[in-house]
Amino acid sequence: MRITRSFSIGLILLSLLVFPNCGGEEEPGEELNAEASASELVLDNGLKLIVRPQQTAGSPLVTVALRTKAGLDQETPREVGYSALLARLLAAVDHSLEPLGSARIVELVPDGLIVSATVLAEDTPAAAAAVTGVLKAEFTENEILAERDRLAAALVALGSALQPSGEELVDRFLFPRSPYGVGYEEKLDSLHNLTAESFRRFAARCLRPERTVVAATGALTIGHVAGLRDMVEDWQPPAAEEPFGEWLGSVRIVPIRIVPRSGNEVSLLLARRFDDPEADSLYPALAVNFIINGRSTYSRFVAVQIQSGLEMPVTSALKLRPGGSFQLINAVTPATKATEVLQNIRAVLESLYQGPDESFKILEQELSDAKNSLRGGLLRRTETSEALARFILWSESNGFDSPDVNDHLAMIESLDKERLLQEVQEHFNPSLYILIAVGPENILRQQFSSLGEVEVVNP
Amino acid sequence: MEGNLRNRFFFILLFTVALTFATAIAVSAEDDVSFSLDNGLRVIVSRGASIPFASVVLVCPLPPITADADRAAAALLNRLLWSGGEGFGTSVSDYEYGMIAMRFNGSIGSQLTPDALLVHYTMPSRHLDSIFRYMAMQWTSLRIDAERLETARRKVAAEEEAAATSSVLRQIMREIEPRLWSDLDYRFRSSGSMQMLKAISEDEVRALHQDMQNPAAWTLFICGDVQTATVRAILDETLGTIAVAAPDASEQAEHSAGENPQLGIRLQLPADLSQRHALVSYRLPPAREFDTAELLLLARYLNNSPGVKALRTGLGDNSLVNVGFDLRDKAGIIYFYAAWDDDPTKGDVVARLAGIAENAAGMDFDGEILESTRKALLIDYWTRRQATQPYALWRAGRIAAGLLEDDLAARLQSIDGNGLKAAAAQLLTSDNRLNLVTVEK
Repeated sequence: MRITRSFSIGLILLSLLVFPNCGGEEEPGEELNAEASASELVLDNGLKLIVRPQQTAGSPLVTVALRTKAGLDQETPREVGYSALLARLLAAVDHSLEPLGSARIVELVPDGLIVSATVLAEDTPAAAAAVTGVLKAEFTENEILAERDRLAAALVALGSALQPSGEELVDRFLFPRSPYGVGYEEKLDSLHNLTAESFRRFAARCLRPERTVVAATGALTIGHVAGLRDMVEDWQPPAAEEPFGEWLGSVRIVPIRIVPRSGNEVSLLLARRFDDPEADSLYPALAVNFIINGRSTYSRFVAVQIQSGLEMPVTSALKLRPGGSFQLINAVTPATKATEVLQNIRAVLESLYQGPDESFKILEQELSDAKNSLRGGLLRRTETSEALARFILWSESNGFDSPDVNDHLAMIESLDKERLLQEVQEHFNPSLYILIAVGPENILRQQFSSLGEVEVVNP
Repeated sequence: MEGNLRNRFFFILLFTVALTFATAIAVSAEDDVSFSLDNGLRVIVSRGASIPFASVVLVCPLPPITADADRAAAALLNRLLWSGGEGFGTSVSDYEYGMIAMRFNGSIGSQLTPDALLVHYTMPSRHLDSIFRYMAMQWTSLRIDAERLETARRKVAAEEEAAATSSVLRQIMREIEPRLWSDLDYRFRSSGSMQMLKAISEDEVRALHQDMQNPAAWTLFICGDVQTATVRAILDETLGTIAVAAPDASEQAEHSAGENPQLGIRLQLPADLSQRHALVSYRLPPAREFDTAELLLLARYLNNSPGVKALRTGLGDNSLVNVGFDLRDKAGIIYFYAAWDDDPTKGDVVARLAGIAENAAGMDFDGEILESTRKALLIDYWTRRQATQPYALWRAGRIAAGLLEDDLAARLQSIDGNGLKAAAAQLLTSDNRLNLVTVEK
């Protein structure tokens, strides 16, 4: 709800005339303690402020959270690892909330940096200052270089000890030139060449008001909201280079990749890339994924699993993020049965995608279960003030028109078979999937060479 | 100036719209409502939620445990509750319960505490009738046969094996608890011994099921978006129809205060340990007999206290020093635990832990630390209180320990340094000390 003029102003003036003492017997200024209402506005500097009061069972908590586009996707190839360094610096320098029993939480996600704090309502100004303080943060050269060295040491310790997970492998193969798929060696190179000046340029480019959303939830008063607005509306950083971003360009995807690993076990990762999914396709995609999972967990994949003697269940996950989402189906199987299991998994997918007509089958019960699950998941995901603030930021970053839970529930409610069919046609066609098989090279080559072009890669 | 005027105008507008339309999501808190059904089932309803969900936890106290077999039977019963019954048409298996949870977009489960079995369901509140129906059928139609019992044995044994390799602190507690409680049920390992899990008969599990199927001993805790009158009407037709078991007076065991063993224990654990470990513990009274808010504040304060921080610093970078506790119906435990890289120059860590505990009553409690600790606990409390299922499980754990009311938030506001001194003087004395444990590599 963006507050503008006309009817609202007339209503206010009328209200003030009719109820000139609506503050009752309060002292001057006490109206700032009145409960705030749900609202959102875009400040002159471009920052978006969203307020959602939420008072559950008399809870006195307030959460202030901020999301700014300072994530991995804002790094150029020479700045890989800079956003991780920014997150670490922001987490390290602020201890102002400790006396208030709280802390400033900094979390780096692929498409942004999330900063949040939850406090008792009386401490809202301090939380607002700690969270919005990241926008104006300045670091000395010593702080930057010392934290860079700690980050590099952590990367060496972790990166050399761990093999990439299935999800990381998919990232590297589906988005090979993007920061999603960058390995720790490249990060180390980039950090090695980092200077205080190059880092400050990166921070100035990323931390921009027009690229920032602030959400406040919980037992908010109008005074809290006014204070919060005061903290962010005078933020006018000097002009900076245009954000880089958008470097997920098209890539050549080889249908079958083999990642050699010793042992007799094979991990089959069947993945499908989506580029820039629209906000209105997220819930349909999640619903279809739920149906695939339901079939895999409770019916056909269970049969595949038992017949093939698989130890682990076959799972399907949809990784949704702006600019680079993918679906991943994962199965662990003995190497000698890899082809059979793969064929069975594809058969399950084909049973979902059977053509653009009425032969496409989604049962009423499946649609109902999917909607129930999405509805319940959404509600339980927004129960606390902190969770609600994070949901608002998630909604904004995914391009939804409204961060209101009720609007999202309405989107879920409107899902029907036709919309899901459209989604399946666009994204879930099994002929568009690529396969990543992790296991013994000689056996896998033998098994998969007849299925299509095979590339052996050691990431 | 212009900006300020614009701001003021904006907030007057906001304020007025708020007054006029009151669009905020606001559910006022109510005090708990408590009542009993005709069959004696005690019900506590706690309203207040921002979403249309409800969590329900049935707290079923364990009957007096007089042998290892009783604990093993309880662990198996916990499993069997989810393995099906005869009243569901065919049978309800783990898979079908999974479907129920998925279809109603909720979650279900159970857990065994030293005092009770907690069975919980979280569902949209419009499905309350289904929840209560499933809960009633779980007990009344439970089928115990050889095949199901074998499956349960395998699952519980696998969980026990996994627990044996979990955190070192957990391993220490598993090893020492049977040595601590000469006079209480807690002297038996919480899931029974591995031998007993394998040996216990169908009849013994069936007998425990009969003993525990007694609504007069149960407490049902419900929280979320619910109306008390609606809840009561549905309960009368579901859980309220379960018959009351005849009380067996001979089993109402009295628990004497008992004597503290004051053990000095040197443990060798099967796990390959990279660090040294030490633990000192103290016996707490039954939870209902003292102010648990004072204990909570005291333990958290001590975790942040200069003494504990100094010990952490002294034990080096990879060290851990932690104060924790467990509230129970008959006697609780508070422990002081440390883990550190092996180094003989670190001195007698057990003695230092005991010193921190037993000197607390003479300490000057720092006002700033006390205030930040109080606020941190209130933030924890209200974060949990906002979320239906975490709050329900937390309350159920307290109910199992004999604490029926939740006055924690109010109590936390009123405790000062003198209250903490008094609590330390009551609880953290050498007379209450249960044991001193060091773990060898």
